[in-house]
Amino acid sequence: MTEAHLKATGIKVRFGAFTALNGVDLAVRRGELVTLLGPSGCGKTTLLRVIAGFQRQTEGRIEVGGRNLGDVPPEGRNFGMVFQSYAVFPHMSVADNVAYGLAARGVRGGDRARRVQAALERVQLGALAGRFPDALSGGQKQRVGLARAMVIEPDLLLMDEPLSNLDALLRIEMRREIRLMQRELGITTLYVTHDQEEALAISDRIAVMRQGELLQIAPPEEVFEAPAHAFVADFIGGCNWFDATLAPGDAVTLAEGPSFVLPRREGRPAGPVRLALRNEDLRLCGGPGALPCLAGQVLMRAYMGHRTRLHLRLPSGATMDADVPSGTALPAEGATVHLEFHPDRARLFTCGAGPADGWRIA
Amino acid sequence: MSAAARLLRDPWPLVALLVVAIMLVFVAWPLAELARQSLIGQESGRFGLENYVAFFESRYFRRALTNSLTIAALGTAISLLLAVPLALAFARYDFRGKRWIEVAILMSMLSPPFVGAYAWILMFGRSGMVRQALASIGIDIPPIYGTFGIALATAFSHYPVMFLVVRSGLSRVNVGLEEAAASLGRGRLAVIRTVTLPLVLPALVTGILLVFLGILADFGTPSILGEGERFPVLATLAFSLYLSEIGAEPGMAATTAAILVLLAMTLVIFARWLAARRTVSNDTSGTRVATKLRGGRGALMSLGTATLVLLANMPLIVVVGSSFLEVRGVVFQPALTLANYHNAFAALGDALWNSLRYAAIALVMILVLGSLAGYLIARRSGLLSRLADLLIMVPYVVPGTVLGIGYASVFNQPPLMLTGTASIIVVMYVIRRLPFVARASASIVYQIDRGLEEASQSLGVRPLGGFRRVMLPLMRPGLLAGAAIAWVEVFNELSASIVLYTGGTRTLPVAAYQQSLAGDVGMAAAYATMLIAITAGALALFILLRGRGRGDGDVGVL
Repeated sequence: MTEAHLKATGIKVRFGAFTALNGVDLAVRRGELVTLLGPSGCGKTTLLRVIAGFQRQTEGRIEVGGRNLGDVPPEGRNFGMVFQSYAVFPHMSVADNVAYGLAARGVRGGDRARRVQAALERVQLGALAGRFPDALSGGQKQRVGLARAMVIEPDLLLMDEPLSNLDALLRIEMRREIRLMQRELGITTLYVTHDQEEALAISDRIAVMRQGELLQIAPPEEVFEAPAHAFVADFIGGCNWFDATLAPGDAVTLAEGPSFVLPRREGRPAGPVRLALRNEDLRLCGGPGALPCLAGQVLMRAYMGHRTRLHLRLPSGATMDADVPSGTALPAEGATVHLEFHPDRARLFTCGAGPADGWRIA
Repeated sequence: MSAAARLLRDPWPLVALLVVAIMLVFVAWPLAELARQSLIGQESGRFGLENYVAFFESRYFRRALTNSLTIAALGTAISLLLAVPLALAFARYDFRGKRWIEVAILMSMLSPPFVGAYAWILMFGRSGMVRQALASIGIDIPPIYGTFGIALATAFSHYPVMFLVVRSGLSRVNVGLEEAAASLGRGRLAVIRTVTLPLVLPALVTGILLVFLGILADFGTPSILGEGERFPVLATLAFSLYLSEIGAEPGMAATTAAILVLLAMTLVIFARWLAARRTVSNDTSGTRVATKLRGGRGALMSLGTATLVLLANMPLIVVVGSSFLEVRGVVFQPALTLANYHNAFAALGDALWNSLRYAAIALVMILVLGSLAGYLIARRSGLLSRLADLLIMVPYVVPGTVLGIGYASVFNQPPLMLTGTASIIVVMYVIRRLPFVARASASIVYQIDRGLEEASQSLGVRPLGGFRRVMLPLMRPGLLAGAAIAWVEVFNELSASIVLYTGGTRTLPVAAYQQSLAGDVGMAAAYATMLIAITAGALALFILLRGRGRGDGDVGVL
């Protein structure tokens, strides 16, 4: 692992009695794209604004490239920032918007014009340099915002939900462009989003946040496949949750009935646990067999293309979802079916305070 | 960073300090002095409520209080009757001539209220034209002086405010809510009663408050239509107690002023409480598209609204028209002449030049201070800026007469010896209009995406540079609109200037008022017409200025 380019240590932000960030540590390597992902109110935007310098932290230290940013105001940090609202200056042409930061750095004349044009070409707005923002679509405005932030060759690019105001198709197109450009320029980027799919698609690493705390920071595959925390598992991908008991000897028994034994490992605490299964980890089967198996009544079938989602009620009264391949003989609504899962696919978490709380133990 | 460097980077605390200091010296101090004087017994010289007791024991003073409340209530009611149907028509329908009728409505705001009052006298006064004409065919109506006349005149000059507020309230009612109510089987009237009315209630309350306060503070109208001291209201009473040539009673004047301010403050607090209690968060996403009325219904709507507005503008038409009529004695003759203007210009002295000069200087100061203060209020949450926000709203409830008396009693000695100077009038203009421009500019700033400034900052520009290069250009259209309204108000200011002017600092409204009260009817009409013409001309200039320059972009103003 190379030395961190951005290093935030022990960041705390309190607004009166409310704690927005409760001691967050974050390190981003040079050239890396890290997303801050979480529901609204989790502190991801606050963390971004602390790093940008718009919000002063109550405690903690921020370094970029080895420079401590303690007292440096936002205008002295040389970070590019892209806003959810685009924040394109409505009274300036596209070119003047992009030239704004260069002018502040004393870049003038032909050099400035050349750099502005190059930045606009890169976001495919070369032909619209003379336009005013009110004649641009949302996507075009955000390209201006992107060009404006990139042209100053920032030490760090900060993006605050840049695609949230765009429609779904444009969002996918833009996030691909952002990712390609970011890689090509090797620009270290911190990207805030509440959209898990966007985070999975764009990131080198995802930092999942909740209630002012960073729960896990890892590559997308790891966050999805090996969530460190029940909240991460639930927020990214979604899960069915079961109460279970972990007995000494690593035998797991679900409150719904089935039981299985985990591969032996030292140090798992025996006692009540919570077990998570993703919809696609459940398979229709004929009845109890070698694999642990759940019985349930189909309340509803929802066709989703390649897969069909079965909404089921278990004997305990709890409900769960299972995604099964479409096309095969599917049970009718009202029928009772059996679903099996491989013990490898079950993830175990300690019982926390909330419904999706607790750290992973297996 | 050192304190000095920090201020250089971000000087807003300094601006807040400046605004607070100005408001303390020019608002809080004069008002505190008035309050102090009101508490020193006129007879005994002892500290206490003696003057207040004297006020409420005197029948004459009590009458001033009831008169004030009566004309304000009656005038507000008439304004409602005029403004609400117009606001409904304008918010809901499109019809021919709508824009012109709207301009005509706003015309009523372009002249000081006393000009309208004077027109009523020209029509229905003792020797009024309409009254004489009716008398000649045997119909005798009483002259217009007194309660009803004053209420009518003030209503006609204040109803445009009500119209503007109620119309904007109506147009912000989410049309989906009304459609939902209608789809649930409610009839048209029931929808208005159960959905529309509760949602526009805040706007109605605001309109009523503004008009009521405006009438309460009006000095010129009751002074002209009340025939001096025969029909006292609080504003005229305070004035005559303070400036009476025989036996001025400054203590009682201060007491009357204090009662007027307390009354206004009570009303504001009551309205706020009412609004806070009844305010529902109004989802304004569904904007209404006005229904186009064609054919007979459209014509009827045009005709109806035009008639109403024509009626409301009658006073202005009469004043302007009669300024070109020959005068014999106190009666206009059916012959055209420019003689009134001849006489008017001969007697004008510096009044016109003074008015233009003072108003222009004040306007520049109002714009600078107003835009800074507005930004401060909208963007900074520190203690100083909250204090500035609070103080800046005080002049809003202080009638001009009160402020004038306060200035005259505080700034007549060192350290600030200002009485009799042009500065005191300019300062008074600035203080009286600052709340409105500051509020308007704050509401513009609220509408501008905070991200713009942050974008500017992240691109390497200091906050002050961002304010100049990003915020000011975006605030410009709104500021110009605010400036236009401020110009109208400042140029036509009477109720404080009448207290503060001296021979050398007489302004055009003062000259016009004096001629209207006891002078040549022709010259009075000529002065009034000059006021109207210059105000309208300046407004046209503002509109031209505003039309130029581009890129108002996302910023919706006015």
